[in-house]
Amino acid sequence: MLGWEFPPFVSGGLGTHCFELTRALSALGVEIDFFMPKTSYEIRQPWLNIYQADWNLLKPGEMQLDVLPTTYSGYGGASTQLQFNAKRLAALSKSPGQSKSYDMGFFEAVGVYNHIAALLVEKKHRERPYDVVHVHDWISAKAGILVSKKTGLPLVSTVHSTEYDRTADLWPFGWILGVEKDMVRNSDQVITVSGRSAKLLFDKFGAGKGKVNVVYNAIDASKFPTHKEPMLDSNGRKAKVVLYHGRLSVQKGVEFFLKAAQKVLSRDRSVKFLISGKGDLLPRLVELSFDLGISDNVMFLGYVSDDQLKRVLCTSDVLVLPSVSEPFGIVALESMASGTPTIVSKTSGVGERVKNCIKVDFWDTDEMASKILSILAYEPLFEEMRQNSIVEARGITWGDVAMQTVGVYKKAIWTRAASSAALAMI
Amino acid sequence: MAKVCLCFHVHQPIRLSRFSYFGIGNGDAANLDARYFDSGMNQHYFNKAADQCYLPTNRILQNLLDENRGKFRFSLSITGTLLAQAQKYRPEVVESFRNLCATGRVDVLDETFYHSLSSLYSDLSEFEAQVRMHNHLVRDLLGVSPQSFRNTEAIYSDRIAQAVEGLGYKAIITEGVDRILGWRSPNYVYRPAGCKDIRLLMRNYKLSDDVGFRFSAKSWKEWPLTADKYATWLSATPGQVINLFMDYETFGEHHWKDTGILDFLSHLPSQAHRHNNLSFATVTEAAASFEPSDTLSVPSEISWADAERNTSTWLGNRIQRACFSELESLLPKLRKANDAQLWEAYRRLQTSDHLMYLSTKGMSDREVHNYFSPYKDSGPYDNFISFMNIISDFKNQVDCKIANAPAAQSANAGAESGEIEKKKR
Repeated sequence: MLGWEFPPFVSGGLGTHCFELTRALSALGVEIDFFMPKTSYEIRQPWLNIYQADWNLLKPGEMQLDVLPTTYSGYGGASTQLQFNAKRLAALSKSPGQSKSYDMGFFEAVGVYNHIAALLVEKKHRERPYDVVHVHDWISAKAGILVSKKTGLPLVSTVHSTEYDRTADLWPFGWILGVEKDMVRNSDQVITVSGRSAKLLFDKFGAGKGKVNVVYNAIDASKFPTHKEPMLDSNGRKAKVVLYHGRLSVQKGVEFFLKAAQKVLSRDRSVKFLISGKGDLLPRLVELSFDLGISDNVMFLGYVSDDQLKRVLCTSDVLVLPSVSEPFGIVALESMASGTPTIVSKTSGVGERVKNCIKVDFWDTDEMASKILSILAYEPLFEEMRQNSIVEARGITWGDVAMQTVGVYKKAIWTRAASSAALAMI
Repeated sequence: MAKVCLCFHVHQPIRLSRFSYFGIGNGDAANLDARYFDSGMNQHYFNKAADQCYLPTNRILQNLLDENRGKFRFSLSITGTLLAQAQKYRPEVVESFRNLCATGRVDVLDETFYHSLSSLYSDLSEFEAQVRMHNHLVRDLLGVSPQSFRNTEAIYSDRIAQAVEGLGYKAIITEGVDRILGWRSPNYVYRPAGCKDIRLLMRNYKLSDDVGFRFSAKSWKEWPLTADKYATWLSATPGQVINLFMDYETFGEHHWKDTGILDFLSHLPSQAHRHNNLSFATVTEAAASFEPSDTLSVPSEISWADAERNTSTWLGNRIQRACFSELESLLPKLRKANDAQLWEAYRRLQTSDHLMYLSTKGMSDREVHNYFSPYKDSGPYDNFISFMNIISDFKNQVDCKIANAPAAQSANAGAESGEIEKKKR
């Protein structure tokens, strides 16, 4: 399996996904070698072998530097998260075979990682053959495609999000789209995290229906405390708290959240709105909260870690996921696991998976505000949603995800075997 | 000789509009009908049901009544909300029901006008008022005077039976619930515990659901079900009365015309008459034909709904119970405000369907509820929000009315209205 990050080294949801998925797969007897970029930490877990792609793992003759990609530096929408990753990858530049003056941009870092990873996987495969290569998103796609082409191993790719989602379809970056299309085309089987995401692959990437599988994300609900810790206002009264948690980007629809907040406050001045997470939209959102005249009631929490999120959820009465385009939206599962009534946009994949949340159009801020106010005003609704959310989240397990993933692996192996048999007959 | 006792339940709710939290006003709305009820949606559903079920099925039943010269008889329980909408949108539907009744071989059962859960209120006077309203409507529109009773969704308990007996009815029907019947068969007449004269008929759910639910299920081993085969089953059924109670929409709506359901109905009487141990009877006739074989005690409510056969379809979760008790607790205020428009809106809000759309039960029941829900895109929480917003707004309307009435006058009016209410009954 090829990924980009792994706990404790995470910046987004991908690391957590790989952690939970590999653990559940291993419980089903799947043996996993996991490849990721070089970090300065040693990461070990008992259920898999983790290889950090490092020049040192290859002999000088195996490096094939001539196939490195050319430099791309014009990624307009590059988020801080990605830049953060790039910094981390800078460790790679100190590897042998590279001149000190080599300035490692984000795309070069990805290119170098994929290059090294492909060589490493191939080498390991020669030592002890794999059955399937599984890659996550475009960021590890190139390596998977390369390995699959060279070795004939079946390729499975998971599309957690596409460039269309990440940019709300406003300025998709052509080069990444190209890699994504390449990945889908070269995969024996593709996993998407929602039906809407699968539809996007059919519509925009021309994926064949036979090879796209929807496997929804899951949650380890036992990690989330379900009690409520009221946040007290200056008079010692319990404040009503509405939470947004996620990246601050156009895709996430945070502006709609603020506009709904203004409408909520027009009816109930005491409600507090928390915005947790960071992103390039932060200055604009702060400004907007002033323009809307609600800055006293909006708090920007900045980066919130997974553990901090659990505590923030305990103090929240409602979580809103207002995404314009969301392949899944795992924060909704986290919120439900913690017993926090949850509102998601109809353009979020998670809404296909769960029943006990409320779905609204992201642009319909009147409706969003009406639903927020209703949850805050009607105690029986809050309690009913809370209890049912907890029960439902407990039933959405990584064990099920692993079982479905193994099914996809088998499908990939069979189709690959069938097509080579057919070729042999010709 | 067993009596085949058919009873068709005919109902349409008056559906609510979607109502935003921001719509909650301070109580100065002029037209509550337009404010809370979606006449476009109601007209749409009514027309659909009228064209697919009521008119074609009434035609078939009219023919059967004419052809079989007195040997074919059945009962209808028609809600007030259905008749009111028929009058408004499709008067020919009222006409065709009236023609059925004019044969003298159709028995109409009384119930609450609004298909409400008022039989569960601690004060039963609102229940009694709604039953009397229904009785007046049936007499006015259909020209018959009901003698038997069927509560909303066959909700039944000893307490309800006693109240219904107090209103003068001769028979009451409910579900043949296994945990109540125990070793006993539903195919006999029973006496409700604590009652003197009123008789109880229990639905044979197996034979009723063969038609109501399973008729068009191709995975069912008895599919396709013919009138011939079904009549043979009826003939082989031991007991005195075979109570086949089902939704009228079974014919043409729940099962489409092309499943053969209407042909099944057309042939049922003639096929049944081929067996000399079968004859048809209305609920009132069947109940009068046999002495009660035993007394049945039902301390807590049963119904014909869902697998649980209790009131959990409408009162199974917090949000349902919240709406129910909000509405019940408004009753004294309504009496105080005493305004015809408020009463009408108040009673329409009590229709049980509004609560059913808030059910959060597990998948199998949810599917049934979703099938009937007119709000396809929204779940129970959305429906609750809209409904509770309406109730909140309605409370403001009532408070506003009370506040605006001069104190002395309002007290008088309250007393007078109470009298008028009593006279109406």
